[in-house]
Amino acid sequence: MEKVIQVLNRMQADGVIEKYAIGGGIAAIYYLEPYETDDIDIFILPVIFGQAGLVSLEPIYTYLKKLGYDAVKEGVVIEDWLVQFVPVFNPLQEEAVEQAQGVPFGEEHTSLFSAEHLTAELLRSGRPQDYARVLALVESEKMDMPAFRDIISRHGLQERWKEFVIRFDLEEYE
Amino acid sequence: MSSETLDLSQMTVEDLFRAKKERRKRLASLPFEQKIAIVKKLQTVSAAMKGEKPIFESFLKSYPDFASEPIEEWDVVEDWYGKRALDPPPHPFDKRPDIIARTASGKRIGIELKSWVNRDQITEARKQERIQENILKAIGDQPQNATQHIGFVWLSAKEVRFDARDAAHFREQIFALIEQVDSNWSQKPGWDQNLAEDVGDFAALPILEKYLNSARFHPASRNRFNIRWIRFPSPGGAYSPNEMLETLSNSLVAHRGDERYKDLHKHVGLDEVYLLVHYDFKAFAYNTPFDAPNFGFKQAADFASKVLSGDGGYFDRIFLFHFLWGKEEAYRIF
Repeated sequence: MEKVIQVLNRMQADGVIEKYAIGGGIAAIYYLEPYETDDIDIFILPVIFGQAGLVSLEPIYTYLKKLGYDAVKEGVVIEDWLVQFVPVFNPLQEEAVEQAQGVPFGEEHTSLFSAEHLTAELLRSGRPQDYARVLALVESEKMDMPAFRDIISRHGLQERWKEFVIRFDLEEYE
Repeated sequence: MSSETLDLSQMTVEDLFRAKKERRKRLASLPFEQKIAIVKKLQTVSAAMKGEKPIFESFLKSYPDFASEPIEEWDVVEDWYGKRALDPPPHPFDKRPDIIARTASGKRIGIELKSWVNRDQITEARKQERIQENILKAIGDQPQNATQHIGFVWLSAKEVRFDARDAAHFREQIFALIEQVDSNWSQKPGWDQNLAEDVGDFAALPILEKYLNSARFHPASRNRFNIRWIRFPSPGGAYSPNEMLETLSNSLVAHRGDERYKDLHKHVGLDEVYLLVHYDFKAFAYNTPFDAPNFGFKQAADFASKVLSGDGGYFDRIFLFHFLWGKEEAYRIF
């Protein structure tokens, strides 16, 4: 994965993306035990719009193609990893990228969603596997719960959290 | 680490979950680079085990005569039509069953693969685990078992969310109950003192009434635990393969009557349709084990055969296959 991080940092240095942060499964693995995941989700800023007014990943794909990395259906394959670029599409993701934490990896440094932002984003996303991660993150005791509560309150996720707490019997974390 | 000898017959689901939890914690504390290396390994293992092809390949090696005659050729359904330039049947039958094979005598056989994974069990177990954890948390650090007559206590919890505000009262009442049962023990007839005592009436102990179905007090004369002596058994009692067998039983009954396989012979042009239920890595990793002392895969297959009791539903033959590297075993169960 070090090579992927090198490429991302180079993209940032070359101005193709301004900021990025790893979210999704790989970010969860930073806080939890390793489990199988196939891709790396890279949340990027700023969001670039193409001529038709739609979000465009064209500059990223063009840049990576020059480095010899071809786009596939779901993203770009960089040294055995499927890398998916996700333009941020809500204020929570934007804040998660802005406030991402720096993490060393081998000789490189990368940015990861904080445990609190990651948990809030997974809660927002709401797929069964996301809920499983939320539960694991909360149980991991690596979360700053007041900070998490502040994030969900600012991003309108209190109701969803309340439902989640009831569904998974998490009263002590309320 | 406990100095008590590990007694497998007393191992409960609670113990299994605790072991899993400790393992998770240990893995979570590894350096990030090391975790990513594990993810890469998992990807490799999973890719090798993903899909129907390796499962059927392995099954064929374990049970080459499963069709009562040699198999001349076979493919996963996606490749069967393409490789032979055949027109597939209309959707959804172009994707069913998973494997198509041709025997030496020219019979066309379809094989549908199903995993012996209990998704409901995972969800239910997590829910139970949470309820039990909260109750054990309420009990807190358990003192040494100082009772005279009680070896250990098994609790049976109601499916009720535990209110943390009840913790202190719960602890107080459970120890009051233990004390009461212990002090009354010697007044029971001699023969009764060697039997477990069930208490299910908690009218005088409202907090226990709120959260427990019952409590079973096991006599110290039989077995005595000094630490973690207030605990939860698996739903089947002491650790047993019952849960996984129940899963197998439920899934077999559901699969054999699955309407999607009704008339599959006709739609796909098959002579026979088989069902292959496999116990794989996922089942191994995420479910409670099916095996126990003196109970292995062969016994599970016998059990499955009895469940079907001669009725394969829409399938002509049904097989049970242990698909774990080095442990491959296959049995015809119908």
